[in-house]
Amino acid sequence: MPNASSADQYVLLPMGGLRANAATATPEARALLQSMSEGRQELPAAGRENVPVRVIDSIGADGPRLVEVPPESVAAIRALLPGLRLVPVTYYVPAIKAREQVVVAAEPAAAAGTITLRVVADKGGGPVGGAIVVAFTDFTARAGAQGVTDANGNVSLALGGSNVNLDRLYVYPNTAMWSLLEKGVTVSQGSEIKLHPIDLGYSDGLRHYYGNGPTSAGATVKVAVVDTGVDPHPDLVIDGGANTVAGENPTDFASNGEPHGTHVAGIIAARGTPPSGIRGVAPAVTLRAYRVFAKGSSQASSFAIAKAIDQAVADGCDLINMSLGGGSPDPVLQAAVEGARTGGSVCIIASGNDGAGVSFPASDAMAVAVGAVGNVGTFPLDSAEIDDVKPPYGKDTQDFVASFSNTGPELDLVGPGVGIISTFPGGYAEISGTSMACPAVTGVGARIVASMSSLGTNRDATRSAAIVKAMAASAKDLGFTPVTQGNGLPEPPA
Amino acid sequence: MAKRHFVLRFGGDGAKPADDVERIRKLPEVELLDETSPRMMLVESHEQPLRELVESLPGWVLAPEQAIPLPDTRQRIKRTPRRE
Repeated sequence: MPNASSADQYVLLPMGGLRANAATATPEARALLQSMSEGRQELPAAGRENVPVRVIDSIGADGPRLVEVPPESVAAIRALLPGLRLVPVTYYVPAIKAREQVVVAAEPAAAAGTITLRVVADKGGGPVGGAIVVAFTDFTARAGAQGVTDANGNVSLALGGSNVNLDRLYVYPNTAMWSLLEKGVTVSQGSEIKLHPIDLGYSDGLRHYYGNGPTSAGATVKVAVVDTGVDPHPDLVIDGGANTVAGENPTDFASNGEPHGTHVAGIIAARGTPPSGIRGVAPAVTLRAYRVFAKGSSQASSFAIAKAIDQAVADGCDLINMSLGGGSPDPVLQAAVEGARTGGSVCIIASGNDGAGVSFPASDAMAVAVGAVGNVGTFPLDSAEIDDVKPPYGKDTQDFVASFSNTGPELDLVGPGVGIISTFPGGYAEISGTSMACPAVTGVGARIVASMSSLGTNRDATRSAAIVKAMAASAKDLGFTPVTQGNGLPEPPA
Repeated sequence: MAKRHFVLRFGGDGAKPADDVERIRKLPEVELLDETSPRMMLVESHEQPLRELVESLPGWVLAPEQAIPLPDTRQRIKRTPRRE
């Protein structure tokens, strides 16, 4: 099984194949690779400190270079050399079967004692149905009970008593309300939990960093959303798309029952006007939906994802938003992401929500990996988003890298991903995740592409490399380390 | 060994070669699940004969089909409460 090296060694090689030639690398990338001889070098970075690299070995004049790079410089090098791949050195170890081990100790059955809680809106007191209520009696052990409120806002939880002290109580409403987190609360039969309604004119994380996109932003740019499908919504215009799930209707790209893709689409391209609707970052893009999650499923096949990427490239999409990840590195998916780049398209992929290393496929050298940042003051302080706040803080002392955001040297950019209001089947909802940061960056990318008159019409590696380079060059340093923010927060052109 | 789902992708120029597709299709106990993609195939097969064939075909890569989960940042209960 492959294991990433703990040393900071990487192989620098062309976008396709091993040798740099006209088919596999841009002229700029070819020249740079050929100029790299063994020893320490400094790559010039416009407007920033030079980036140090040590070339340890090479295979011929036009072949790969084995290089040593400090982790904090990896994102900068990927931005400087978008026509080349920087791949961690991989070591192989025997594939010994893992031993079985105890993960969770056996638990006693839940004691008798069920409490019914009622969830209501704090304005008007109307019941909130469809909200997920998660009540932790012991948060460290993740012990407690959870359920979903009925149409009357009621949920019954087997908490083992009639008057129960909760470590934490989370409420995740379906639409129209902010989430809630209460710590150290005591609940009993009939306890009422009040949620704050969402005001569509509120300056959430997305609007804090990017405002409401001008109605013409992103015109002429085609963007793919590879996700759970996108439902019809008054604020969304879907140009078309495909369903790449094996055995399903290939023209059914509406949602599979999960709202994730509809929320993602709104962050990129919602065309509403607050306070009656919401506006995405690039409302004028041509938006296409590619459904890769089967009906009713919360898992997507690697085949469906790779097929969707191929289809989006064939359909002429400039940017491919992939707010998904978490599988093992997979040569087929890798080839599809890399094939997109050679076809002139760029896959922009969420880094993952485990608070760990960048997940696959965001970690692929040819992907633009996006992590999530937030800003205290862009969500209610009693919402579940408060959980995502973690020091250190940025140059703006309200900025933070979200606690769930996966980080590492493969990270390219960050976007707002904490408490993001967007379109939802039947209304609007706020969600947090790198899934939300990713489309924010895609929206900015679309505005950058729209401004690049020099791109031309050739859909090739030179085009995609220019897009990646321009996105990285637009990034603003928020004051975090390169491993946690990549090159920073991309900014749309003036 | 039980049969599993595998994804095959042709990385060469153009669409997947018809001759290669035919050889894969003719492998014993291979079931073709989806061949609508210009470059890829989804098949159900035993791994060893499929891998041996694919490794002999230039430009193809093979990987077991895997499931990518829908991202979610919400908290979840993992245990029932302790008895009082």
